[in-house]
Amino acid sequence: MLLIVVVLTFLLLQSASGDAVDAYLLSMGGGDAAIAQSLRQSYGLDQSEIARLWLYLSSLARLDLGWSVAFGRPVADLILERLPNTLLLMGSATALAFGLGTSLGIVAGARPESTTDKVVSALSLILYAIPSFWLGLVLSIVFAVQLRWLPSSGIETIASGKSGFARAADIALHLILPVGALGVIYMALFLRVMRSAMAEVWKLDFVAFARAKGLSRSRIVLRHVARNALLPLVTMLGLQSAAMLGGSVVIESIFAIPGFGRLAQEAVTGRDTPLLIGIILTSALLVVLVNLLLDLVYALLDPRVGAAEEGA
Amino acid sequence: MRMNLLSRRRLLQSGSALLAMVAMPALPRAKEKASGGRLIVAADSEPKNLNPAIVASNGVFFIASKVIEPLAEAAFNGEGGLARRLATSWEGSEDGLSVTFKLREGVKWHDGRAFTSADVAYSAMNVWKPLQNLGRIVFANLEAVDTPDANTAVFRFSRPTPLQLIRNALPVVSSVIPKHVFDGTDIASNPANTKLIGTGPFRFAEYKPGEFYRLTRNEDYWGKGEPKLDEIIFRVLPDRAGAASALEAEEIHLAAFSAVPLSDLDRISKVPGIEVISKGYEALTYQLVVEINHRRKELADLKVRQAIAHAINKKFVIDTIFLGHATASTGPVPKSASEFYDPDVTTYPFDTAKANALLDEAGYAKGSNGVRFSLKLRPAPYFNETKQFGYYLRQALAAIGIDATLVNADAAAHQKAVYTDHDFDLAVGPPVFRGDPAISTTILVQSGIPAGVPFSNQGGYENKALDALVAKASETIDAEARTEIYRQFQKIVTADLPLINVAEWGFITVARNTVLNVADNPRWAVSNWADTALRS
Repeated sequence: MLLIVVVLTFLLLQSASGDAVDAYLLSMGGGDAAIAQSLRQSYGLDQSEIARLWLYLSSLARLDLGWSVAFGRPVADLILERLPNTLLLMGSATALAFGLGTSLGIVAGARPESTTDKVVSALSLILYAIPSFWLGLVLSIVFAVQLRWLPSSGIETIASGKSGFARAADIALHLILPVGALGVIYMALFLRVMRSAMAEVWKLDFVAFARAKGLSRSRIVLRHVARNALLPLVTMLGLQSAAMLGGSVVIESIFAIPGFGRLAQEAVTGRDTPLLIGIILTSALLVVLVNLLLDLVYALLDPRVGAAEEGA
Repeated sequence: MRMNLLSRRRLLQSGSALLAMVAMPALPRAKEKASGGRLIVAADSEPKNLNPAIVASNGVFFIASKVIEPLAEAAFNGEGGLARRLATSWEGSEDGLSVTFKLREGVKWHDGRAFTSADVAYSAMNVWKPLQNLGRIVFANLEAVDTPDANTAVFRFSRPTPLQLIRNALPVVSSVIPKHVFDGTDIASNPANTKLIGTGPFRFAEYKPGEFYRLTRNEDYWGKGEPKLDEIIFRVLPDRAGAASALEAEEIHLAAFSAVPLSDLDRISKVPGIEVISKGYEALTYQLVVEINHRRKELADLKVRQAIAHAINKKFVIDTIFLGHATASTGPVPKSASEFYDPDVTTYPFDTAKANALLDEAGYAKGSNGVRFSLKLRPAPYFNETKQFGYYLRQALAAIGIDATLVNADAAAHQKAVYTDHDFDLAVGPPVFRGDPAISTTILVQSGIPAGVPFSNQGGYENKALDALVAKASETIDAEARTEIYRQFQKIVTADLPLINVAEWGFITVARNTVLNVADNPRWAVSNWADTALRS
């Protein structure tokens, strides 16, 4: 599967007009034909596509991700350098989206069609309709420029010399706005799914039974309805982790966070084939990993999944 | 087996713990007062190769010019428009075959070694001439550099080379790098291309990719009492709205090269403590140019080119697209280059009726649908203004019955389509005038340039008289005679229209008013900043 990803990405990038040397010459503000020729030679861009694809695949087989043309550094270094920032951003944003989305979903779903439900649902619809770049800019103008409560960009204070807990706090402070911008939009999605899932569960027989048993409403909502409604949400979480990787491109640019999304954008504009394939490969692995993890969580939430396995 | 390592409750708990971390209340922010003399500047790109001796581009100079110095820098009030840096004097021989530079004494490299004429000779012969994008043109006929003593470098040329050209090119092409660091290594892959070692007022301290570059004060700098700052930080801010926000939030002091978009200038100029400065780019003039593919039958006809020139309302372009931050062009040399500029050329005032008449005369009558012929128009994506001018030009052409199809592409694709594949009829480009027409201007109209050279004549235009003029200028030693040739050059280009010059612009710097001595030379953003200071 991953091999198909690699080959497709390679071919797709070849079909884009212009190569890494065109992009590099442009950043130099011009250069003559001899410079272009010698650059193409040194990057192996003068060879045929098949030869280059074979070369790339054989080095990949040795777990070598190759050399970035646009950055002049090994691709693996670049990815390892940027990945933690994106994971932090995505992890926090997912936690925010999932945590807040689920909680609000429970509030809304506890009494379907009540005023609370209508207000929360309307709010979620508005949030869901907002583009993340717009929200990012507005949050930045309000909280960084006008109120000056939070830094407007970056992952940490520049050359601050902080370490340990002070540094972690500094990074957390810098992450509030980007995580907010990225998380709130996905939160709306989780909220809506949670709410409608709960509305479905309310109609089921075992809820009526729980009521008949005389259980308190809050106990029914939390233990019976919400728990069962969580299942589709976990599925969503897996799907959204891939979407969020895409969303981080915009947020990382606006908030100047040196992460994966920005690296991907730079790889495309620089026609940096090895780097882009490296990024896509890592992202694919990441999504596979997240979904594997969620499958395990699924088994925890729904006893039937584990039971089926036991029976087999 | 049933997985029970994680309970549902724990899962929810850990989720809310993460959430709590994210929603942590704002801590009081450390005040970034100018007490330590740290200047923070917005940077929008991170050049792979930061060595200005190899890559003479504004993106590289912006950072590297503080660390690595040229022989001379541009100046508003200097002899010949130059300020002495590593060279203290320069003199050309009568026959134009040599130029003698006297070098500054007592200059040290950042690693403690002494700077000598051997460094200049090495830089010129091993880097500028063979490797540098612009040096390859300026030093094409450089044969050798003699070093009779440690402070004298004599450049010897195989053919007469005008001192005027060398002088005008010095700020751009003459960044000196240390011989002892590069000699005997593969120059292109030397680590000192990113971790710079120079003689400049600032040392290269640190680079965190995607975040910042940090330069620190060079205690041993030759300039008395310089530099004034302790530190310069170039903070990477890729988003254009980000630079404006960071300035307003007082997180950065300065954004150069119009990092704050033109449309934001009006608003930000009203913010207390922020100044909008349009000086300091006089020697970095960008030109808005309509590039023409002369292989197209219709465009090979002078009358058609004249008609297109008449169809463009330059005043509208400047007022609406550049919001007043540009000047209308009359020809291929900008007004800011007063040494060469000739106002007495053929001009094409905005006149749609005349344009239509010219096209009728040329035999391209309007069809039943009002269209004479169709064209492919490729605006360069490098600036907002080049893209917007593409939209405007399409409308302007429609008014004279030319139907233009806009083709927008990203930078690499545009470059390949126009300068390698010639897949265009009209293109909008932003070439740069770099102090002398021979550096990057004549190449726009000269014939015989191989495909694949960006910012050159790839439109198939050929004019023997113009080529002869350019060749003659390259061997004319006398500055006055050479200037006269370039006046002729402007007359021919404007009369024959190998391309159409529309407007010319410098950039805008937006800075906090605590930054002192901003824009005090015509290449300020890409100069040494030794006298830049912060008011505490």
